[in-house]
Amino acid sequence: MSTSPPPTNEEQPRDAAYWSSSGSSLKVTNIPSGALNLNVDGRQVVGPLQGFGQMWQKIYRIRLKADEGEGVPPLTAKEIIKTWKVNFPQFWPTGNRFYGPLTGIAPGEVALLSLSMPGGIRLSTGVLVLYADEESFTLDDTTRTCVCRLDNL
Amino acid sequence: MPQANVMMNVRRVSPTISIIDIHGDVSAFAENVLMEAYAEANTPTTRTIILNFAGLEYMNSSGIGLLVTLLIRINRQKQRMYAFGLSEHYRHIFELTRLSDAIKIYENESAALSAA
Repeated sequence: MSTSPPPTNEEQPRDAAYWSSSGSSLKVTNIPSGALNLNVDGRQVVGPLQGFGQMWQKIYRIRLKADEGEGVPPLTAKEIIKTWKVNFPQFWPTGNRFYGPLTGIAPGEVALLSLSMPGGIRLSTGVLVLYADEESFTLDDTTRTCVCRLDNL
Repeated sequence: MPQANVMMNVRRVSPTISIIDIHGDVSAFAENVLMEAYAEANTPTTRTIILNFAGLEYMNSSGIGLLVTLLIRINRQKQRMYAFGLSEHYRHIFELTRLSDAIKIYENESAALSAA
């Protein structure tokens, strides 16, 4: 299967800064008030072929209407994703909480989740920021992988 | 819209083994190129698809998603996917995303062919 790795390249690829440099094991360093560190610390993230249920690719399209006043430049993907990252905890459905890392959505950071499940059950879990650049970010947890990316304006 | 910054070359080294040499960036924009390469690599007798990442220059999470899509397609054909030529950085990415659980990684082309 795997053999000894090739020599390390001194020059890092362009994507190096955008990937988590930690391993696939979740490490919780700060627990926000109200959050539960259950099923998170020390757990392994799963790959996209693992976890419960079948993996689906879902694409959602939304129309963002910016102020079209004179001289107002159109929104860029970078601006939208930046706003999305900063306000991500506020975009969750009622009853669900995303406890983001203090440093924000950045590669390698871990966030805790409190999810409302059918039957009144609450699920506590966490996600690793697997990848984050100016126009997308990817969260991976112990059950599935979620990619958030803006394609076009 | 940005264009795909990737080139892929297909080598059918045997009736059962095809190699796809990847040069450039693997991101969402590489989807058509990758799927066309697979269509060329896939024959009625192909059993193993080997991806050569020695020319890989950039890969984001969408690129990983593409590889997963390809892997699912290959698995449905009852074929196997191997890889070689990964730098230490991209080998880490494969392990981080657990893609290495599903795609066997080899140090070089010879090792991958021997295993196929």
